[in-house]
Amino acid sequence: MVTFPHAARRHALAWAWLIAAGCTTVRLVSDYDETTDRDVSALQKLVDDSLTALARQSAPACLFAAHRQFYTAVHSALNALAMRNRARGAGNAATTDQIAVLDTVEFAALEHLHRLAGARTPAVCMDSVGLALDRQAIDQSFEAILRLELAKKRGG
Amino acid sequence: MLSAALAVLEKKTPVIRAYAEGEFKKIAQAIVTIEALAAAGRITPEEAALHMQIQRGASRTVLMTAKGLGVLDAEAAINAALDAVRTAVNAALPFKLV
Repeated sequence: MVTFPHAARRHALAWAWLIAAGCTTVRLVSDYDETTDRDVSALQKLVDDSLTALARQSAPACLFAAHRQFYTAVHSALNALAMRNRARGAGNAATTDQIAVLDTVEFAALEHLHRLAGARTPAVCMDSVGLALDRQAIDQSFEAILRLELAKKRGG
Repeated sequence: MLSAALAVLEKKTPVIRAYAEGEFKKIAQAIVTIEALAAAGRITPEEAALHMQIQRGASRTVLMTAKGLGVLDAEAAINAALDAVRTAVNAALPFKLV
């Protein structure tokens, strides 16, 4: 049986590691997804248009009952985005979590606020300043999601 | 190898910091306004808590993006270091191996 001297074996292992390291490209985050980019942008526009209209309305047009469909549509769209990004694997965990926050934290709170305003006696529209702050925060979340998605292009 | 990685990180970290700082400044101002609305009686304590929940949500998504950008930068730094190894391996040999 042929054996190699200890020093020669160490050199061979070092070269093998260097060669292996030189051949691989590390991927810690998933690739850019055009569908996510497009769908998040479209949803942000829908939300922006709807909340702009809401801010201009007076009772009873501004009350929750007249906007129930909006919340259903938003939840449905975010659900679809979440499912797509979960299916894209662990490298996409940040985007999946962001979508979940937007859905179950931010829009859930906005819907609750809308219901509360309508439940007052007499029913009132949501506070205009409060709604403006909510819109700003929701826009920040949309931008955060898009910023990360675009960064996944990696300069490409 | 190390200098290739550090060059990437030094270039990109200030961008992430500037983004996060700008976003958190807006959120901090929003929180002050919510407190003022509650103090003025324009919104109830329950409503104030819900507005705060939305601001906290935005904080979380911004932080997740900052973290994600950091991971992408770490990835770029690692790959820059691996590229340097590839160059060194090919330079050390009389033929192009990788």
